[in-house]
Amino acid sequence: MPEPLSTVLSLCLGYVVLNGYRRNDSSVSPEGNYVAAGVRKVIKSAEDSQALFGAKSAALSELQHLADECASDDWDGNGALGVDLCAFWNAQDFVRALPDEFPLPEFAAEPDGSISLDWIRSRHQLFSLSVGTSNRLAYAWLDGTNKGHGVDQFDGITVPPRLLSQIQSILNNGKLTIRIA
Amino acid sequence: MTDSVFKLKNPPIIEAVLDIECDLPPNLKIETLKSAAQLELGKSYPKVQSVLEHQFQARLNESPELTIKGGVVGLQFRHSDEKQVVQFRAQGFSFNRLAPYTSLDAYLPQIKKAWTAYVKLASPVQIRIIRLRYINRILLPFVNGRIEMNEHFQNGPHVADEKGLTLIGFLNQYTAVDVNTGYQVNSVLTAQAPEDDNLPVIFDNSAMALETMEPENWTAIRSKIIELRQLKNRIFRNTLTETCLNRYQQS
Repeated sequence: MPEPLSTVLSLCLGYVVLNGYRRNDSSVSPEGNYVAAGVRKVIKSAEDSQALFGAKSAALSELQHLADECASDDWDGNGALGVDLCAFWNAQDFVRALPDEFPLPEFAAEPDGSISLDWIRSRHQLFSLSVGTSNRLAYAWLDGTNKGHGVDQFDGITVPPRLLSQIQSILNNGKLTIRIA
Repeated sequence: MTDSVFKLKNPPIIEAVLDIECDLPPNLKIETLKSAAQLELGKSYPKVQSVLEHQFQARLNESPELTIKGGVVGLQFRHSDEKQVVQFRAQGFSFNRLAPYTSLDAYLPQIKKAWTAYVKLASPVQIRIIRLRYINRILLPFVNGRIEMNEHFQNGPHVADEKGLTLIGFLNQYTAVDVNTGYQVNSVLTAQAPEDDNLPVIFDNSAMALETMEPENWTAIRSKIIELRQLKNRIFRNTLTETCLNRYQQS
């Protein structure tokens, strides 16, 4: 039986919480920077572990590769903006915040410097999320003849449960297998 | 002494930070607020600095390269003595107070003034998180070249084999929820390099309320800040031992 989502989240909270801590650091003192650097080392150490972070490590590498490839303006020959660093960081944090075992997306650069995270089951069943420089996530989905779109907030720590359930629903052909506790 | 009035004579505070994380209007570019914010805050915070997004790229056998992409992710308004900073960030507002620190009560009117300017200029739609964070630097004296962590911390670091191992570095972090209020606490203890006969330990202690609130309702925001202060004071008192606390009660 699938675990309730709240249980899944509680299992992966450790490093995700640390990441949220790093992300929300607004301190200006050298001591604040020192703590943030220490936290980054712990996160890096975790992300180097295949057991702790295996599939996500590969996804983050893909994301880094995409950001490198599309870093300069006009990367598409049509005047697209280079991938924005904040969008890249937000996309990284989103991947880190996904529950373990949750399907990982494909990545694509968008002409406005944002990054698209796509879960594609087929041409007619897909979920596309646009990660930009702010904490607002615009998304659109297609499920046969049904379609929809919306905007949700991402705090850098927790992926909104309704977003997870919508993605899961598309990937499971309309059947929700993760229960939202 | 209750947690609300808990006050040390010489607190080891290096920096106090109040963060108010908000939903901002979708198309707001924080850098467009610079001129208007200078007019509002310039008297108290004459030094203005844009915080740019940047990253270091390090490749094998090459010097690290700093890449600035040009985007402004925040504006910092600094007091002339650099001890107090107001930040207008892409995700919210911050007030930073560096040592010497007096008391939160003394800073609240200044926080209110800066926050009011932020609300006026950035028009946040709603507040999502209020976070009160205190970064403390605690100097632990070496005795015969050793430090007994238990003498200073109630929940300090331990090694697995006290006889066979000597601790040379640590970063202890935990996050917890207060069962009465639902507020979250985040605690980090980490050691810095020894200085003279002391080991500096940073105790990063924060309390946060993850609740949506109206940006214009300063009375409610203030109440929340006061409640968070009580919580972070409780964490502080229950992290340090009486022996350690007493060192900061002396003149």
